[in-house]
Amino acid sequence: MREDLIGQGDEKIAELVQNGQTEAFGVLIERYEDKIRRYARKFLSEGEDINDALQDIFIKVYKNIQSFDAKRRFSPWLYRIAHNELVNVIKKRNKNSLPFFDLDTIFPQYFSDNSLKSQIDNNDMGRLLDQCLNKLPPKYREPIILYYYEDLSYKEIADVMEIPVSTVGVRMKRAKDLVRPLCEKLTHF
Amino acid sequence: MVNHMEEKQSVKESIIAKIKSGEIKMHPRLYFVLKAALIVSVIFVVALVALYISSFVLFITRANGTWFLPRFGPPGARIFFGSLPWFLILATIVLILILEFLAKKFAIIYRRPIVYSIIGIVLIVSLGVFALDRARFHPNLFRQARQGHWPIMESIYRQPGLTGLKDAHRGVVTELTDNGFKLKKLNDEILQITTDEKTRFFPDQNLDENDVVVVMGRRTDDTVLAKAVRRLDDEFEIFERR
Repeated sequence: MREDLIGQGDEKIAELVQNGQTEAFGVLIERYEDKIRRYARKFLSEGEDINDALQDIFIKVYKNIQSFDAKRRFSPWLYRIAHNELVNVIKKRNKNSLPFFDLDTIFPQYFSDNSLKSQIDNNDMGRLLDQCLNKLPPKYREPIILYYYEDLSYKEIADVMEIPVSTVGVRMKRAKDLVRPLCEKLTHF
Repeated sequence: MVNHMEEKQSVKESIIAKIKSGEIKMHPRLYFVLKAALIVSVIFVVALVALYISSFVLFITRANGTWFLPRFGPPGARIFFGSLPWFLILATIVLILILEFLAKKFAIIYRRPIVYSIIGIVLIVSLGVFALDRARFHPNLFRQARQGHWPIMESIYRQPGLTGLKDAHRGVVTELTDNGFKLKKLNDEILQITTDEKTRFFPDQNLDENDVVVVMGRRTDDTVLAKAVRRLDDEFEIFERR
């Protein structure tokens, strides 16, 4: 069974799960566990049980898999569930720490469509991010992770975070502006 | 490395075991269809309530004369803001925010800045209010409530906000008197309107019986010393004439 699925896309496997092939869900867990663990680590501190969060995320994915549209990409749908679950964990931990409306989602904002990737060398940015990502405020950290580490487009990030596409662009720009001075500070010490 | 592999195995195996034992079950497709239908239905109902209340605010302010007060200049504008049904206006704003919150479940809404969806909701509600106004929705309900066809509606359309303002009074002139005229309000109450040389008339002083007017002036018992009087069209045809 597993060998048959190796070359299959996530969407096809999700379709099989929808049709009752439970074992296929194991393949999806294998494919995404490390990615979701890495994603969760950027939000939860080391002391917190990331395994519990991971279990809750994959259980939710399984319960809600019938709402997944197999014509669309699987990973943004999965990250959206992970995002909501992690937001709930953070809410439980720090009551009222997340605003109901974020100011930068209210008004239209303009951003250059030139992606960060085209402005800064990928490797350079990746190295900088590894060093300084945890110093960024969470609202800037998340789009950066989804874009650089998980290869999601701005539109897909907007779907994961349920925010306007323009807000994703603006947060990416601000994150980039913040990363450089932060990294310079770090490398001086 | 060994620990990490064990962790991986444990997460996957524990979930698959729970699925196989039936501890975790996937929601059927119908569950999501019903959930989406429920959200759409709640949006529809909230939109209808918002539409009803906002169109009622328009009706109430026109029926009791508040709507016309700014035409009396700055003093009228001051009374206008003091006489608005703020509770109903606040209720409409809350309902619009609830609509925004519910609509944000859909990608077409959350992918755009909040200000756009708020403007969209306000526009849709305003168009609905305009349509109800053209269809004389509230005046018809008001008339039917007065005739006793809608006992529940009667309490709504006989509420004090329609007639009970201290500084603005809309009604029909039933009798011209030496020092003014008698005014019959929507609740059939008769007020004696006193005019003097300081009273301003719009567009002119030639009042006749059956004219619909709005009077600005403080009420004392059943008497009002009019600061200003404006003749109006009875656009709702809700005033009973002799």
